[in-house]
Amino acid sequence: MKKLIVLLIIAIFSLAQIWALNAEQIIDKMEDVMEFETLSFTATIKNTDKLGSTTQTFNAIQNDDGDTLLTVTSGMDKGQKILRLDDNIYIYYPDADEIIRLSGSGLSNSFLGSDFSYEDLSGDDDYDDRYNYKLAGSETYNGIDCYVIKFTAKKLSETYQRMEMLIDKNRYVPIVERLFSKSGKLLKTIYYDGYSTKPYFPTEVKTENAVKKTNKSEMKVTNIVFNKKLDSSLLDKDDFAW
Amino acid sequence: MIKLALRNCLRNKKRTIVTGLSVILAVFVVLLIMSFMYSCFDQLAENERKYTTGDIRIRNKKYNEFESLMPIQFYIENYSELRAELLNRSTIKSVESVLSLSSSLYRDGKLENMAIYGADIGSVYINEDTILYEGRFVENGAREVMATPIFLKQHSLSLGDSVTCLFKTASGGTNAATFKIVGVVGYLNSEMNGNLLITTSDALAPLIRINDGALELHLWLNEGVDEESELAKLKELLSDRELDVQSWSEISWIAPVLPLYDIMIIIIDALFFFIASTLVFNTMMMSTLERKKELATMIAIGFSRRYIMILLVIEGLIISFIASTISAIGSIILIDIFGVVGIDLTGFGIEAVEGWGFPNILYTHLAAWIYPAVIIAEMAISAIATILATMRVRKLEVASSLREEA
Repeated sequence: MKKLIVLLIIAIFSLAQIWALNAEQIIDKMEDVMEFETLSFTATIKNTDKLGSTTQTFNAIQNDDGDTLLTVTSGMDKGQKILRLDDNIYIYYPDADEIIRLSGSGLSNSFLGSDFSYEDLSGDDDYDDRYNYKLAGSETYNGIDCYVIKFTAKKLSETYQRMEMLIDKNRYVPIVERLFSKSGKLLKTIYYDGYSTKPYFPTEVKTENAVKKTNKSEMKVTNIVFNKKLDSSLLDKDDFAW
Repeated sequence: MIKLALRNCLRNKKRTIVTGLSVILAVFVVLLIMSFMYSCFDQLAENERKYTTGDIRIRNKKYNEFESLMPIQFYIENYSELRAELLNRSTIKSVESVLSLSSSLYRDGKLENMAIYGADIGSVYINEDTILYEGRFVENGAREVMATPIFLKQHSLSLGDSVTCLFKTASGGTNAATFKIVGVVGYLNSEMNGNLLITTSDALAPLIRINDGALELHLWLNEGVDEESELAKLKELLSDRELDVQSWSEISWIAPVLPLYDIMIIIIDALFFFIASTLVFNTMMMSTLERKKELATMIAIGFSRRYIMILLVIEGLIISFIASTISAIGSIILIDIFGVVGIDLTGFGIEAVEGWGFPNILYTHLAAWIYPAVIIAEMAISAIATILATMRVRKLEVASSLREEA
């Protein structure tokens, strides 16, 4: 009898191991539930630092390659456009005669003075190409049970060399993202909330700056439209400024 | 005794000339150094006032509090209204808006550091005193800049080129704008001849999102207005507007140092005087040694050693007075010439102190009272040097001196 109980426990444990997801499967599921061909939305960013706060509004369109166009529609910087193609950022300023091109390290530059970088708001979420990652256990955040995935960048050119992501075990969406420097120093934390129905997209995003603790940014997303046909000229570096 | 001393001086012209030349050199060097130092400090203080503060500077209180963060969002609002209000006061001659920003020049996909100034036409940055090497001055509100020669050299640009500059804005974001270089300018302040562009405040203010705003105002008072009293009145007038009103002497790093530089110059010149006095001492000593036989003869025929010592001192004073006066006259002429023509300090390492406000062309001057003061000081030193040199007369052995071969 005792032998039978032991065998039963071993069998249940083995089955549990087979049924448990690995990191790749979790990430694949996350990419599945958040997948879209095209995306457009309107967002408002409120930035707060020790000097005060500012609010600006922008529109965004993105394709499934991560190419993104951000257009500032209100606030002091109205009319500015930021286009991301691969690892290049092109910025159109109405008062300048030429398009400003930033590449590589320019992706970590601040968007409209906020704690969101261009990298945070755009780009390709194909983690397999960019990171090595592993499942590092579980954590509960705000009552939500989450997988913890730890990422290490494959290339030095990656904006965030190390990341830690808390992924909802139920919906497979990111809830918290902790971003680190290569040495392991926490740079900032991003919190995602207000997910729409599938494909999932967070409508409330907040940052906490771990270096400048008085700084934070909050983004509220509205008018989300998925898979609408996009005018290709909008994501073309020669045409986007017109 | 004076007649005898004079005759003795004229009797041996060579010795007199040698002694006199040493005094001329010492006084000349001391006066020139004093002139150089006083002129340099005075121009430094003037540059600070002209280019950094004006007689009185006004800024937003919070801008001053967080100045190291370049908090452009804390600008002076309703600049036009404030300016009109200030110019209504009979004590104020002019009000200038100055925008001084760190910026980036966008060239061939790269960002290069630089600075850009926005100022009113007619201000010290854009007026008839500004040295225009090429081209013309910028026009009000136009998307134009003037560049310094160093800027053009550093970024391989020339007159007529367009430049795209990025700035931080009052919204916390960034903006970029393209300007045309219409002029190449220079200033009498080494700090203003660095890697920078100059445009008008009217052109720059909207680009950094402070329409009808200013980052700082420089006020210039009318002749004869008491600065402290006007400062107190302005502080009271603007007390409800979150503005910092400060005088030049409150802001400038050089103001607390100014009272000390008189002492510093005196110490440095005392050093040069000391060095000069050793020259005079040596000359006097040689003179005494050469005249051993003559002095022994005088003692032998009845002159007291004390009388001879006094005689020698008077000779020294006469030479010193004449030589100092000649030197002073020569210095006056040279200092006045350089006071008009100026001494170009570029190439003398003035670039090493860029950022301190030193003048790159020095116009020399020296207060009139200093010349007689230096002459008297030199005569005193010569007297002391002569007394020390003539101590030998006390120990002079008459018999052996008379026996010596001439």
